[in-house]
Amino acid sequence: MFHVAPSDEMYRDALAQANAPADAKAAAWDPSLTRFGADTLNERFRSRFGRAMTADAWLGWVAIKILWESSLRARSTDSRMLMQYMIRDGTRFDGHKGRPLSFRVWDHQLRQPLYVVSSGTDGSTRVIAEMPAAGSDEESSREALDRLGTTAARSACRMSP
Amino acid sequence: MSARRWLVVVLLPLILPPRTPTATTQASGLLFVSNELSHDVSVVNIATNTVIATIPVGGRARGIHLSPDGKRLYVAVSDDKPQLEGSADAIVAVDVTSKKVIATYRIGSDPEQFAITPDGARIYASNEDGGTATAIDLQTRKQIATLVVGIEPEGVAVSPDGRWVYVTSETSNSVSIIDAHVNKVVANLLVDLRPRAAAFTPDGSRAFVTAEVGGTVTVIDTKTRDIITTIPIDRGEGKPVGVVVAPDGKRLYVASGRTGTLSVIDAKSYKRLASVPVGRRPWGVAITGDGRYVYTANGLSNDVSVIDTSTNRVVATIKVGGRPWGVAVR
Repeated sequence: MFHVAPSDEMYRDALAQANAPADAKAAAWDPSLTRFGADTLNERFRSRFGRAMTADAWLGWVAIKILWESSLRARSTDSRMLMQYMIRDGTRFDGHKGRPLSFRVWDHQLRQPLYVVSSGTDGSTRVIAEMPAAGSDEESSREALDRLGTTAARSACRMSP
Repeated sequence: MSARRWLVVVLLPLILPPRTPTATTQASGLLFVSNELSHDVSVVNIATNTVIATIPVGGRARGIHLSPDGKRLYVAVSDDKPQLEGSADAIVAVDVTSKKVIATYRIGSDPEQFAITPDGARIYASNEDGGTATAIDLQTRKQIATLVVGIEPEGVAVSPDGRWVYVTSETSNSVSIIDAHVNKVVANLLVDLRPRAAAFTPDGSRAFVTAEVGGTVTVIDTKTRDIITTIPIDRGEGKPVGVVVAPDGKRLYVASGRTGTLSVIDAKSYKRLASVPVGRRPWGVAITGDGRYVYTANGLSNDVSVIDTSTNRVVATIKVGGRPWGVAVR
């Protein structure tokens, strides 16, 4: 089993680390995102389906993209081969979020940046922060993403890699 | 080095009185910078590193290349609304002497990157939202082919012999190889995440593809179409975008947006020789015909960094228009 949707801990950590206002929410995606090709993806979705790409829509899209790409790169449709590829060290995916996404070995959770979003009274949304914040130069992008969610040490999951 | 440039080098001593040795080794010519926000092209005298003219192009200027004879400048121009083909969406040709737009080529919506064939006859351009690449005959101004490539096509490069066109696609992480003789896609390769730009070695044996999210450059053997290796940029944490290969084929220069650096890489050993801090969010890169200077268009600091390739240091910073995107030099 793999978790593309962020865990509750990831949402909680994103809000806490951002010092977010009480009415703000953490989300995996927002239709107002523009950087790293987010604008193109949002526009493609809107022109095809006539509605904004919500976080749920993005999660569905990225899950299929990960499967499709794993199948191409692993040159297989066999589920065991796909799982091996997805969890392999060095395997990374692009979800139009700028940072490479990957699965945690210990709980098969997708590492990903989250957005702290505030909602206007008219239902519009505004991204006020991307979490985790960029770390020091020495910290890798993967290490930074592990600041959201359950660490290997704290995880109750025991998975064979 | 182009045939024309050789001719100039050979004929100059015959026409002009003898000059001091330093003068002849100096870069002399013009640098053109496309500005996304100010909708124009800055023209820089590279002997003095000063802006001598600004050419309005009527839209968001991105991809920028000179014709092989150096007489025409081609600039991809779009409106600020991608997806919908607006009246501004086109590749425009600018006469380098008069500095005026003299022709407009329609290539579909939101043109960004393109390449010119070495004979100067055609342009190949990517259409990001259409998932296609379009070939245009520059003489007749007609579209001669529209080819399905990957998802969100971006970078375009033509091999030095004009035979192969490489188109990178950001979402599908692929490079589509077009045979320009028959205008068909003959191969698709998977490269690293979010491929942005491609460049060939002068002998055409290797192609380099930057991967913005992968933080690497993929090296392709153009004969076997195998991936030889991937080169990490700034420990794999960089966001490599623009890439150029030196005219002698010995080095490649890669602009990395997030880290604000220009990586200098040995084109044979693929080792990093230097990481040069430049302006903020460098995108396009260009190198002079003599290989002496490299230029980066720095989108967030509204300037161009001039890098001396003999010392790998920034020797000048030139303020240009709003949000510079690409550079072309002759």
